Amino acid sequence: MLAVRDLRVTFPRTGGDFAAVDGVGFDVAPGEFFVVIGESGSGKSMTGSAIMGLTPPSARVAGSIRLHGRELAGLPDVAMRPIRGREIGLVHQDPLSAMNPARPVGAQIAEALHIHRLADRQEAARRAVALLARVHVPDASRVAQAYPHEISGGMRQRAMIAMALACQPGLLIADEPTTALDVTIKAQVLALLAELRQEMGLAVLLITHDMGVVAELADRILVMYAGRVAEIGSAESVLRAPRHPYTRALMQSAAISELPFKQLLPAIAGTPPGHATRPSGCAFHPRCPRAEADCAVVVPPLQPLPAGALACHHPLARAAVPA
Amino acid sequence: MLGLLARRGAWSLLILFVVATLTFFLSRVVPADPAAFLAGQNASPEAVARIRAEYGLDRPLLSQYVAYMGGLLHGDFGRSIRTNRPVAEDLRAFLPATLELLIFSFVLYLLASWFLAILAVRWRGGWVDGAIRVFTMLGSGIPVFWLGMALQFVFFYRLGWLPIGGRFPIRAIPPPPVTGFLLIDTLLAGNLHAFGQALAALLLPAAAIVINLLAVGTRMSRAALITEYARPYVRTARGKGAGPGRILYRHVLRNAIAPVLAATSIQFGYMISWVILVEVIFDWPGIGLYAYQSFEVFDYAPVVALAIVSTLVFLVISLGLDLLYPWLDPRMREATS
Amino acid sequence: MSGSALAIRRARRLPPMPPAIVVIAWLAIAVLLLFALVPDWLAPHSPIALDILHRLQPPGLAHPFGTDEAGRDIFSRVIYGTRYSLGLAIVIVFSAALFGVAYGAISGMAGRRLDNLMMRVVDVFFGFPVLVLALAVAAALGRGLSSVALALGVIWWPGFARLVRGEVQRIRERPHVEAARALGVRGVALMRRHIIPFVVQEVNVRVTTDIGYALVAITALSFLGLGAQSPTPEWGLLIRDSRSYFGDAWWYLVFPGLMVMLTTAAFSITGDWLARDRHLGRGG
Repeated sequence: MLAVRDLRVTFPRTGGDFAAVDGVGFDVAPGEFFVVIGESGSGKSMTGSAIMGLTPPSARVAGSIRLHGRELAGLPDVAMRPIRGREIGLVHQDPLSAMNPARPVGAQIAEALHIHRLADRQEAARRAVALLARVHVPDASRVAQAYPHEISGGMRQRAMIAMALACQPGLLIADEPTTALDVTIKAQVLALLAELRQEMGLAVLLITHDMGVVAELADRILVMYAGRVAEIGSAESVLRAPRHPYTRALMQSAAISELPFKQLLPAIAGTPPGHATRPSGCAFHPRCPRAEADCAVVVPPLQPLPAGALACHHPLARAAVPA
Repeated sequence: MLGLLARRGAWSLLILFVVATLTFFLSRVVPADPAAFLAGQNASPEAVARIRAEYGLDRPLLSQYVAYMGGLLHGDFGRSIRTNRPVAEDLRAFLPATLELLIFSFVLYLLASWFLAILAVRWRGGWVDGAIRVFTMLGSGIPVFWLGMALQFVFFYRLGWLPIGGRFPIRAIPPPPVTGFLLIDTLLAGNLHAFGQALAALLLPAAAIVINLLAVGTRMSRAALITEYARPYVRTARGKGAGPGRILYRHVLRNAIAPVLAATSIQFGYMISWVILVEVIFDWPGIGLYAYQSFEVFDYAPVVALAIVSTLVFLVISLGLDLLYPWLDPRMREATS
Repeated sequence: MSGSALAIRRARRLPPMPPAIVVIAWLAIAVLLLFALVPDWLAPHSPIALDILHRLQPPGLAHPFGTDEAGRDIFSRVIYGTRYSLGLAIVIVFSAALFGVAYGAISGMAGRRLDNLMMRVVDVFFGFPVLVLALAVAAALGRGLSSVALALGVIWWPGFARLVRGEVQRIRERPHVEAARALGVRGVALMRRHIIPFVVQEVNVRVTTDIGYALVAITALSFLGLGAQSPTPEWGLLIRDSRSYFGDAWWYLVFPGLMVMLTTAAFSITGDWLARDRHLGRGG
């Protein structure tokens, strides 16, 4: 339902344009829980912004973004507005600042319905309360009257989700929705997302840097590094049998509970490249244990695989997925 | 809320008290001979002696102080040598003119300022925004008295459209005084022609004040609006599919008002200073001109009175504005309740 | 290298080439400072030489700003006036800054009660209408530039005190200060090495822009006759003197006013440019 091909988001800079997103392509099927993983600066958030048409004014977006076959890239803002909220919902991190502090929560949810003319004043208010109840906010009618700073962080994030889903979009983009939350709340919010997806047949594009989030819920995973795709695959294959060295290193550094006691935490040597320091060829080669001469020269092309894609000159061997 | 009001009220009274004491200090203690000081430069020895008796300047300082403060409480600001009337009476006579100018200017300023700020933000980065920024940059350095004279030059000397000064044409008959505000009184008397004349007289002095305020205020409003636009909730609204109009009116403006209002109370302090200058330039018969004319002939009681009255006005306005914030920003309501 | 030292280094790093308008502003300020310091070198005529034959001449080659009612060259008078108008503004703002910064720093570092008390005092002065105070001071202490300096100085220092106190309190809470404290750094040393460097940036911005505003205030007071007295060619006085003549002699009004406006603009532009890096320099 969502098909992204060769997406590029570039920013003009003195000394050469900077590509925050550099040739990213993937598909999201209806009802699929698709997770994009990457470190800060990998371009994952910018990808989400590009899909919504919410990149900063100085950014230039190239490539193809098709929603149900319709091309979204390059659409003027006026044309994107009917799509935002109605066909694609957006939830982003830190719900406290993401909500207007001067208006009650219920009114902000109802606004989503107003914008797309799906309900009149009273009906929208009613539905806002119903939506809050749907996302398991206790005492929904009281919360609807409250201001964002008067309710807890977990409730706020649920309210944000209610806001994003008010018009029943087919796709929900969640950009680091759990980053600002406590661990226990995190789990609840994610469970909520999974549940809603079941009920509504919603596709979820979850962007995160938090590995722990991913394991339980993802159907398919996209790993990004330095603005490019490293690997795409089913959750099973990416988590258990990764083929890209970067993915493997990520999984190793996250699997703390499986390490023998007293062994040093495996860390990936070096730091991710910043704006000015992106290496030539494969962006990961300075930190890659498998790097060879051609890695520094040629950018590995994104090769489609049966269940995904891979961009590496010397990937790990295809291991059987452990039972 | 009530607690806040009480606390601020008490604090304001204290400030007023301090200022009054300072003026006492300046007019009775500092001058070598307070009687001569108050009698004015050209006073005869008999006049000086009379003043000394009238004000009780021979008495011990403390009892003078008590008498002084007591007098203030009763609205007794002493006597003006120049007009030979109690200062309080003079103030009452001249106050409406100043108030009318102040209120007219401030309302005009509020409207113009928001309009300009919205323009600047809507067309951010365009030439309109650039022109507005240049204006605020240069405009904040224009002395208000110079601006008044420049306006006189253009609109009176060169174009002859507007009067050079005064509140009302000399030979015209003013309407019967009801409120003391010419704009209102002329309307009440049903005299549209006179209304036009009063309005014409107001325009240049008000313009001088407004342009200066705008240069400073638009900068702040624009900065406040830009800050708001950068906030995450604007992104959320866009994510819902909201258009620029909705975002501006329903989200941004509401939140930008509070910081702007904070700056406004300081600007009121400027306004009070500027009013004196403007009244002098335009011969506007308000308390500013009154006090200044007294000052020029070394008649100091009105100057002292002006200091106290303007402090009072400033404190009242500040208090009023401070009470507005919680109403505008729900987050502050919690903090103050 | 300690976090503080690194941050200070960053804050002190020389900025890249500033935009053209800022450079122009700097040149203007340099010229003005020259006017103030060595007017004899730069003024084409004497500021007090009377020449009644050539009174109220429009601007021309001999007199770029025209002449006044006594035939004096306005351009020269403006140049000589710089040290009174701008010079006094600089002195006032710097003095106010010195006192205000010290006051604000103490208040910012002090315990709650002392801080509250100190700030209450500041509140008294804050926003007080300048002109009124100046009138009262001039009335009591006599007219002249020293009265003006006193009145303005009293009005100006609270702004700095508040600014510095706010900044000090903000920075006090920062992790690097806590870390320094944990290492045993205290009192004056703490202030000097870990807090003041960040505050200085803000103060610089304020000092720069305030010079322009102080200038405007000085000219206003002179205009009213409170400050400089004739025949000092202070800019506000020049404007005051033009009052009787400007209907026909527009240059008498325009040029002194332009000087004030452009001087203030130069300082504002510089101040704004100094402020642009604020958010970067503040990185904790």
